[in-house]
Amino acid sequence: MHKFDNIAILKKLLVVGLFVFCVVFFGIFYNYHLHFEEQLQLFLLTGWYFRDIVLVPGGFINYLGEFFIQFYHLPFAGAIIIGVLLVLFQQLTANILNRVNYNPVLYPLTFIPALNYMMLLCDEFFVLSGLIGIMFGIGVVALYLRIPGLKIRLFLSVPLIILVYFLSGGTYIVAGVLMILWEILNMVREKSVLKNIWTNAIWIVVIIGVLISIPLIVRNYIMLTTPLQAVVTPYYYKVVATVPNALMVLWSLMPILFLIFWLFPKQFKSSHKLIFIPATALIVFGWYGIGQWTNMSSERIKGYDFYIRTGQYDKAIRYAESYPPRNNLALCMLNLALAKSNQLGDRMFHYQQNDIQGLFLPFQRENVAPMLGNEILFSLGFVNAAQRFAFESMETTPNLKKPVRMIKRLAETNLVNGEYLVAEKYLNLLKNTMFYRKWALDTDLLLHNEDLINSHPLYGYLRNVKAQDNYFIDIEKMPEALSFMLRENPNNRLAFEYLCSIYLLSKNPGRFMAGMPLLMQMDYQRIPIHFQEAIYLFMTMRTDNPEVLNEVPVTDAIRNQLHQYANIYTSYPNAKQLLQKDFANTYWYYFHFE
Amino acid sequence: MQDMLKIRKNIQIIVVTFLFLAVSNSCQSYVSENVSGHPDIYPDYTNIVIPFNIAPLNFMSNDTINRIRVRVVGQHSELTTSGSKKIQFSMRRFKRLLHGHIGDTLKVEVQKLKDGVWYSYERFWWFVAQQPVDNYLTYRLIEPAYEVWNKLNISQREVSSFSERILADNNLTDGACMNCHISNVHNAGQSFFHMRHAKGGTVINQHGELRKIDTRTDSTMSPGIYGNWHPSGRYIAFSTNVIIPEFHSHPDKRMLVYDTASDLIVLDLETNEVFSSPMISRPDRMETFPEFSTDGKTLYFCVADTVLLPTDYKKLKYSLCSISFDPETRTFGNVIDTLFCSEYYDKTVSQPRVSPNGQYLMFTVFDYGTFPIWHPDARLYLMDLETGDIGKMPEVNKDINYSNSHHSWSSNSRWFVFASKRDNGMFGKPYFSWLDENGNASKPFVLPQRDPEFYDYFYKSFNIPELFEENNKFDLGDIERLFNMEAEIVDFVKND
Repeated sequence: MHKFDNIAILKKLLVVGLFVFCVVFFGIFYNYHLHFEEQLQLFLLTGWYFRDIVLVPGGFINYLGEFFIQFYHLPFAGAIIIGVLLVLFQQLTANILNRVNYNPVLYPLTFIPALNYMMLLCDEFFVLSGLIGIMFGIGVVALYLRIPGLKIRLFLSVPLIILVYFLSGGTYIVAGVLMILWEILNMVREKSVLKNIWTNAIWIVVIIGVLISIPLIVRNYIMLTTPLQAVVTPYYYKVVATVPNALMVLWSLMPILFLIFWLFPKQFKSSHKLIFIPATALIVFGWYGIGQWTNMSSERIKGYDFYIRTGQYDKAIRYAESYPPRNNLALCMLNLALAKSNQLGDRMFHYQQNDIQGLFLPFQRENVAPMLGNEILFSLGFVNAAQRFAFESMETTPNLKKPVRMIKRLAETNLVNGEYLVAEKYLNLLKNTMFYRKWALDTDLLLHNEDLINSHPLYGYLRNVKAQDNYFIDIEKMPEALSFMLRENPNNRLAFEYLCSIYLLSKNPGRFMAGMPLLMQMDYQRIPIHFQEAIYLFMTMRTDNPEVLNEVPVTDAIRNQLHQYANIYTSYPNAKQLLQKDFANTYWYYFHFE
Repeated sequence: MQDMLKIRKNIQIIVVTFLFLAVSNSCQSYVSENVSGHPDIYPDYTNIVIPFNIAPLNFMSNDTINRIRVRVVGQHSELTTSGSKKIQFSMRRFKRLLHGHIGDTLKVEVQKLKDGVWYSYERFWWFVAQQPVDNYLTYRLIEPAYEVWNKLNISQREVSSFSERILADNNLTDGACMNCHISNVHNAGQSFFHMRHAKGGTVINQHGELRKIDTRTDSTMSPGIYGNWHPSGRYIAFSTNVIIPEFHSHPDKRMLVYDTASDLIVLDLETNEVFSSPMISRPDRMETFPEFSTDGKTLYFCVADTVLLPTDYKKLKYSLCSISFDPETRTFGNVIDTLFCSEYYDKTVSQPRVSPNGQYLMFTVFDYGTFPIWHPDARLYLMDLETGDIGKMPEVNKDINYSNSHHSWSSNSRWFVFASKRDNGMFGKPYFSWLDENGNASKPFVLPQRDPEFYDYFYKSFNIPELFEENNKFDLGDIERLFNMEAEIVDFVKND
């Protein structure tokens, strides 16, 4: 009895462990991934949206998936939802496999599909609807297994498979295969192979025929789609034109486990302690698998992006202390945070810079770079360019969904541009969402109200700096666009600092120094440190006349530092190494060594 | 048993209460009030000319109301209906009413219930024209994006009903862009459109027989872009263009699409040959938007002098010209006539389309450039080809802030459809207008939808609306098969 108690406790511990692991992992270590997922869809609480989504094969799981994903907006909500779903998935798996072989030693194996899906969910191309789809598929099988009487089961099998197809798409294959395996197992168990052989053989042929014909019928008579999408449906993987091997492996797991449970002995009389072997292997498998599937580089970018799009610039900068940017996407977000909190000129060289690519993201035909790039353009006041990036980003989401974030941005760009009817059209969509409704209603009050818009802290600012004359914007030619902007509005400090930063990063002393008269006219309390470093460096490159250099508007500290720097730079062949310790955060170091 | 009786009694009480409330509600007396002016409805279907074969003109109240009721009164019969906010006519009764009043005027009375008061508005009219509009309308449904597209398809809508079917879908053609589905108004059943993809080409539809032709040659700068049919159905004239998009910074502008070079070519569908003429492919000029005359002996096109681009983009102005064409010898004349001089009008011209009866030439006029859809100033003009008079079509162009473009004639030359962004500047919708015998266009009205709220929640543009007399005899399955087939290639034949 004691042994069985231990096993029961271990089982519960494993289930609780799965849930806790999931919540901690997705809630703390991989939370930005979920926040990012949430803003890539637009889930509407309207009847027509429900109809449009559900009335196609697999649409039901798509709807449920989107419904749950909208809660990723809240901290920990996504982690808890995934945790609950994975536990349910494991319980459904155990429910089926225990009917095949109720051997406690095998119990840890019932966690494999759930853990496998947890790994897949670390990949941004795998979707929650896929988890719901496989759960629905095997849920129907669990129901099927409980139907007493062979004839009733066989009779109900076809409608159940069709039901699974229309509600959850591709996992109807998993359901069909499991049903076939179950009936073969029953025949073997009851030693009635010969007795029911014809009934079962015909039934198996019928089921295989149904599995093959459903997508053919759908493709020819209901909805012309690609053969692959007719079978799998687009709700398992975001890139709808392909089916990844990982999905095939996941779908194969249930039949494989079914066979393992079937072929394994019913009882291990020797010792129930053997359960600790698969339990340990399971933990190792989970730990290793999650490690393999997580993409922490992507998670860091999403972290920066989260703080930028929620306007938490200080947190983005603090985030950089723990996770310095490792690529242009993260670097662009950090530089924007620095600029928005008036620190770009003081701190940008505290981080590894990468030429102009660290300030602006070039346009690419995919959704992430334009999505993040639009934040920079919008913040700077290039509203039209931000609108373009937002629109194109919306058009390039791999699963063709509309990102709520971009809908929101399009409402904003049209509001700032005075295109109120278009802004209203987008706001009307957002009014039908759970988490953006309030924002949409508040923003709706601004429509057609010039005073309210002009006094709004963000939209009023954007209107102040908007283009008066027309010029073309090319992301490859941002210096020209920023110069146009400054010509129209010489007090635009953000544009000025971005322009200066471009010249600093591209090591263009002439252009940088040409902007200094404008700096003197602006309301700076003091000149940003990196600008001082550059000014003094460029002046010493122009002249060694002490009288001229004394007039340069930099602090004594900067002068002294440059002298120290210059002494080492000019005296030692290994100057780079020597200067790294004390001068790596200066513009001089970037200018000479980066 | 007692429980059952209790439940039954409760149900009886509920039913009686409900009936009482219903009756008392229906007996409630309302105040009536007359209001000057037409009711605020969407779409604006007030005082319009309509074809007798149009689908029910469903509309809704723009203001917040409790109820709306409508009475459409004709000489012989009338039609009444009501709704909480929307008016959705019975298809059968609406058709019967229109068919019973061809060439006659219908009066439309609208009453709205607001806060216990029925407001009666001034009646407006629908004049049922004697000429039907071509029953099939195709358009490309696409998000009004910049350079990137996601999901798009070419759909066909029956104008006389709400039935719509997809003719081609890029989901089945590896995301290929599809554009410019153009009919041959002189030869119903002929059309073409382009599929832009490595496996793409120009799809030629001849009464359901499909061909895919790759119009690229070593001697032309691009495949065929903007094109139109020769009335014989043997030739299609195309422009070949180098197209550049630029993105404006000013809030009032969105993007500029212009050519840095363009010429005209003609595709011979019988020989799979492409030919041109130095007169329509001059290196110092840009020729585009070709259109054959009804007799097939003249080619209309737009032409501009090359300018420094993008610097002088506002100086890029196209004139409307014509040149003679001999379809037997496949040769062009030596004289180019100017019909609309860009320098004189200080405007640019695009998309000329000749009415099927050869009487009119309709084209789009705007301030500068090639491509009108993002030009808020784009307006439709109508030229009488007999007199040369140019009409500015005031009813079509008045009170709009956004573009009118991409027009297409009905085969009887009395109706035309065009894409207009007049509602909000972003999303194009198909608008119909009728021409009277003097060439005066009537106030345009938007393609009716089953749900009048449809356009509010539809986020795609109706791109390049095109009227067809006959049902297009192909579907997206045919296009999917064609996409996976090899394209026919063409030879460039040099004409002196």
